[in-house]
Amino acid sequence: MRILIIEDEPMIALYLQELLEDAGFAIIGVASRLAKAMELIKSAVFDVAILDANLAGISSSPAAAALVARSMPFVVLSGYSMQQQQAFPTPHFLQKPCRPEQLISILSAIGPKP
Amino acid sequence: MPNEEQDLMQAVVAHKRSEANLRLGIAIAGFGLGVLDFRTDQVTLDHIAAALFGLPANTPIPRSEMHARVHPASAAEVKAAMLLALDPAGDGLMAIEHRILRPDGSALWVAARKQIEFGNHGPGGSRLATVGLLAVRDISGRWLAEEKIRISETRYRRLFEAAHDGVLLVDPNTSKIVDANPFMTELLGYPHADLVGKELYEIGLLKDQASSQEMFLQLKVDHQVRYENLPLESQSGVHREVEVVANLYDEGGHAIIQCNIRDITERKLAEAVALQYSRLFSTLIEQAPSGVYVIDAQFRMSQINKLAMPAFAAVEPLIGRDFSEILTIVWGADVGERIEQIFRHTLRTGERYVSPPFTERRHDIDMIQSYEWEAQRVTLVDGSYGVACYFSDITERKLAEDIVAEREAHVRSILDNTQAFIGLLSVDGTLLEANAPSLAAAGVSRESVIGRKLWDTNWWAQDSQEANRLKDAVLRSAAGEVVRYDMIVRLAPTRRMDVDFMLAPVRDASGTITLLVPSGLDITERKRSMHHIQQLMGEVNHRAMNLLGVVQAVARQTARDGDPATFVTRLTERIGGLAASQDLLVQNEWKGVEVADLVAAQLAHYKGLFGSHVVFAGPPARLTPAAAQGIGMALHELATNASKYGALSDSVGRVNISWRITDGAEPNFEMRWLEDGGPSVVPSTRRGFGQKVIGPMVEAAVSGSAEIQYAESGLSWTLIAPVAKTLESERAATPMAFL
Repeated sequence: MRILIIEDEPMIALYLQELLEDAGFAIIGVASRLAKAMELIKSAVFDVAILDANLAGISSSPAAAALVARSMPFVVLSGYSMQQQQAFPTPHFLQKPCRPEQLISILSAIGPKP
Repeated sequence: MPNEEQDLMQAVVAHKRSEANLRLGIAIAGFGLGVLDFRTDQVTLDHIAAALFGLPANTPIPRSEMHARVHPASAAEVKAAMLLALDPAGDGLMAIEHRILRPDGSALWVAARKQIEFGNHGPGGSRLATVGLLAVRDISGRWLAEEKIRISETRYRRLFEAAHDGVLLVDPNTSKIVDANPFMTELLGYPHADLVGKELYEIGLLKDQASSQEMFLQLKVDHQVRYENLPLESQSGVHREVEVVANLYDEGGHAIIQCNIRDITERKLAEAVALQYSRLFSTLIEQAPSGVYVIDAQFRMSQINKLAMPAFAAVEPLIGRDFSEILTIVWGADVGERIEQIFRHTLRTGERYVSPPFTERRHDIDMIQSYEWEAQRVTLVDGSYGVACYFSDITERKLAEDIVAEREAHVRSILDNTQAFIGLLSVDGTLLEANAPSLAAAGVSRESVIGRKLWDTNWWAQDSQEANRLKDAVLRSAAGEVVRYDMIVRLAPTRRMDVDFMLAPVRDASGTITLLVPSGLDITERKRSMHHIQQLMGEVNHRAMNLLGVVQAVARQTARDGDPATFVTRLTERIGGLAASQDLLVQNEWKGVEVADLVAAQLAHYKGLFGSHVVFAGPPARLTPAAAQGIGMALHELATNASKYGALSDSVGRVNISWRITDGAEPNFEMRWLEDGGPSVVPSTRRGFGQKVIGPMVEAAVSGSAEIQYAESGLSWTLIAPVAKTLESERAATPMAFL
């Protein structure tokens, strides 16, 4: 399964990358800024996106909208609680720090079935 | 006939003989004389008689001329008397008093006497009047006096009959009543006939015979006795009060007692009423709820009640004292005279005077006192005018009023100088008062809101929903509830104010709600800062969660490439490094971290070597929170590496840390870590966590590039990043924009 990581914190991006690679996922790209994220959402080939709710102080809701527009499944990962993040139209929400197995099971659930 | 002639002549001679004497006597008696000659029917008057009749004297005139002077009212009487006198069978004498009317129109009363002589010379020798002598005297004076007596007697009788005093005439010798006037008979109810002949005690006027005798004895001595307040019962049993005055006097030679009995029942009654009136007057004055005193017509203090006494305590004596003197004692000359003028004016004109608030310094006690007073003319018991003054000492009340007014001013100034909005409502919601801040907040004038329903005023003109809510609050508060809620006041379309609003009922002593007090505090700022705090709290949570995510990543990495034996130590150190950076950020309120501070914090373990083996220098530069975290972690990994394998692993190696900002349109932040003097460096082939941190991760954090060189002399690390991505700009960074 091909994963697009949209995350501005390098340490967390690295962590996610290694965690998911170890778990057998393919990371096709990491975006740490909204512009890069929008570009990758349009152009990259992936199955599921992991979206940080806030990118360098800017809400990433345009990225969420773009994902919805492309009918791409995504999970929101955020330091904010669910209540603080009502702008995101997704039932799949994980608050940092998340348990790795929880993230993996959500990705498996919403990603394409083999 | 000759005989008769002779007789006549003799008579005439006889007359003439004594004529001189006769005339003299007659003249002295005031008589006028006349000689009548019936044969010639003429009369000759002397000058006195002629003057009486207004006819010529001493010359014969026709008798008819004299008869013509007789007053018509007396003519018939005179004629009859003459006829009688001329009767030859009679004695020829005539005496009559009659009136005459003189040519000048005046009338006289005269007494006339005639003596007529007769002769036998009538037909057949019958007797006929021949001559006569007339004596006449003016009696007008006497007659007038008698007339007066007659009139006087009539009048006296009428008085006696008609008098409203009872009059009894008593004979002092017999002690019996001889006459009584009609009033007396009416008073006693006895007919006149029953009264006459009775003694005084028999008709109940005196107690008994002994008293009667006593009265007579006293009358003999004093000629007058007076009894006041004698009770008298009439025959029909009606009780009367009488006053008796008895006088003993002489009436035409014999003594008589006149008793005047006056019915004084009415007077007594009137006196009793007057006395009662006088007592009532005094009682009214004494019981009056204010100070009352009365000045009499002579301007003296005549009466004063208890309440008025304290005001005149310094005046002794008081009653009967001249009022202007009293005023001078109490008020001094100037004020005293002013008051005196008012009293005199009222006494003279009857104009009532009501004083305006009267506050003056009293002369006798040397204190400022306040009175309310009025002066009114009154008719005193004796019928004369006086002035009654009613007054109240309002000094205490005025003082209390002044204090209340002062307190009100205080309260008003407190209300106006407070921050809160405070007002006063009647229970139906009408605004009675509003303090200055509440008026100023809406920019409305007092007049434009006072008297209107609170919900109809400008404060809520923009917002019918709030106005309705307020109306409901007034209803609830008027029913006894304290209503409190946060209210939005739209002062203008673009300006809103959050108000912590409260409406509380005020009850009087009986528990009835009489007023409502609306109050409010402008909590716009408080609300804003509360909102801000909530945002910050969320943000702090967000950052903490992010940091925990980082810690989670660090832990995983540490576990991945490290020796399980040193895992805890390494993880603890790395978390310590993260914490140090975090600490600086918090200290600086997320507004960035000075590079020098970050270096000192991350190398705090080697503090002892600062300045000798650890040297760092650079211009002031403030890293953004994201850069501070990334660079901080890199510095931590570099220091750990140096202490294990590099310059800080022995006592001679040194670390030099420097940074600078390059010139140019897009300046860079350059930072360099340079080790030398330590053990020879062996380039690492491992791509462990430390390598990732000082390489791709810090590059990602600052959008820059990091270069690592392993020279013989030691490791060097260079980071080059755009200032825009690394350092805080001059303006304060938004605290929530780093992850």
